Amino acid sequence: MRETVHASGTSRIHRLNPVTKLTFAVAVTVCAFAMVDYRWPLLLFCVVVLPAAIAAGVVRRFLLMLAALWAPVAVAVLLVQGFFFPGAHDVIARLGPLKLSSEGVSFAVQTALHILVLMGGFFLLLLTTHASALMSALSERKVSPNVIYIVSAAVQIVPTFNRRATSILHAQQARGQTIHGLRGRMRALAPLMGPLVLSAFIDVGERAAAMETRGFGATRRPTNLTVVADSGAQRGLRAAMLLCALVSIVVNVWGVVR
Amino acid sequence: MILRIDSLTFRYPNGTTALDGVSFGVEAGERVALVGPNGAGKSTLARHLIGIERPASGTIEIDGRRTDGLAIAELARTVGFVFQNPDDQLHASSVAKEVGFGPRNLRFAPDRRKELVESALRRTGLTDLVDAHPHHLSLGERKRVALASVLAMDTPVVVLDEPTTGQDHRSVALLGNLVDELAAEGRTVLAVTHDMDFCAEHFDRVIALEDGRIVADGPVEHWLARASRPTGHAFELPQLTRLGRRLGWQTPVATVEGFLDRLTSDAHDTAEAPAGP
Repeated sequence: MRETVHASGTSRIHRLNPVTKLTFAVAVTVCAFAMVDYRWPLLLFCVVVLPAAIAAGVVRRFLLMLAALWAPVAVAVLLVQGFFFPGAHDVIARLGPLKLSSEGVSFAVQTALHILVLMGGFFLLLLTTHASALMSALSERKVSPNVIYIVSAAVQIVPTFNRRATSILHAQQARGQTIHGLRGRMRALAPLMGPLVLSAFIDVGERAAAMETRGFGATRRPTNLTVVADSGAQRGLRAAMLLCALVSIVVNVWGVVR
Repeated sequence: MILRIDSLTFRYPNGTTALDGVSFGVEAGERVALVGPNGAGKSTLARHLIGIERPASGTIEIDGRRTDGLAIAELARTVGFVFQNPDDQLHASSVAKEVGFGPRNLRFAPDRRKELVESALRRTGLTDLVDAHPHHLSLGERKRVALASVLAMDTPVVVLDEPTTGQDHRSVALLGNLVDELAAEGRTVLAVTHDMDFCAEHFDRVIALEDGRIVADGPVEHWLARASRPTGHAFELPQLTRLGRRLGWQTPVATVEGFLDRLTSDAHDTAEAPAGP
């Protein structure tokens, strides 16, 4: 069973230093959020993020992850903002007492596209980077072990939760719990969430204790088992991406101030 | 026949063949131990019985019904499955509510439900813990709660996945007695286990798996005779079997009764042997 969502491969994207990919994810996110125009994040996604996923050979899983995680968020944002946008005047449709406003839809589209770029950048990082490589790369940069642990746990939490939830669901179904229809799913929620949340707390406690007993945090400069490749070109690329992010912030501030 | 498996094959998504043409049948009231080294396919086979895994090919028939297309919750009426990790299922605020979860889902009448829950609690030695929160119990007690919650469903087939792991001697003895009682009531018990002493004492039949194939199927003694050969195996033989081998006995013994019978028989033979010249 998978511990991370990492899809192994030998593409150039896979071979990049994890910090380069992390910088990419942060930079495209900052660039997307810095611009108010909704076409900008869409352009970023189509011209930068999606081609990168294609180049990495993970586009199918990338799109599946977006469909599973971004699509529900986008729909929720559209419904909430579209119908309940404060101070909206331009009503484009009515659904009983609810009014769909163009201001709300516009804001929802913009927000959903911002989130699309954010998720896209980080999904690309997760799909093309093994958690251990990311930890080693961060460790080489003298990042605090506590921060590395948090990043590592965040990377691994989705598949771990998914696996655990599947086991719990099977155990409850094996005792006659049905999950058909909305009512069945609602009834199945409590027997699922109880063990899931409790086991997550127990896991965190046990993992922390297990790591401490093996010397985690004893030194700020632990040695690494593997050395993650880096190059001058990648350092230059990271600087360029950070510069782009900085420029987009300046443009945003300048545009707002002006 | 309560259970019939025919040419069952299963592959994991990564292409690994976990079960390869497995076929066997089990009569009602039989106690069957599924044994084999780690990765042999025992748990995968057991998970097919409750529908968590589905065959790539082959068929499974339980109580006269093919399992294809039956949901896990439907199969739960016939097969009670006790998972290895009790924490995967414990969610209620008390032991009594946890044990009552299955019968409620199966829509037993309240009187019948009460009767089944009380019986399951009594049989698993949990009557003093009915109001306790399951998560405040020890691992052994939590495993007994999980077992009780399945017993309360009153299924004709009970599948136990590694039931003795993490259990103290008292709990293992209680579990063994329970296996014997269930079989005496005509209920079928299948257990995935590495505990050879438990297997030898309480099971009629052993199905040994290796690399997803059945390599032995028969009475415990037959399997022990095979496992006793110096071909290397993943188990520690029962202590009595090892003692018998040290005594030079060719036929393996597995139980205390068998050992005593053999000792008595040997003593009798020695007494009757003609004295030397």
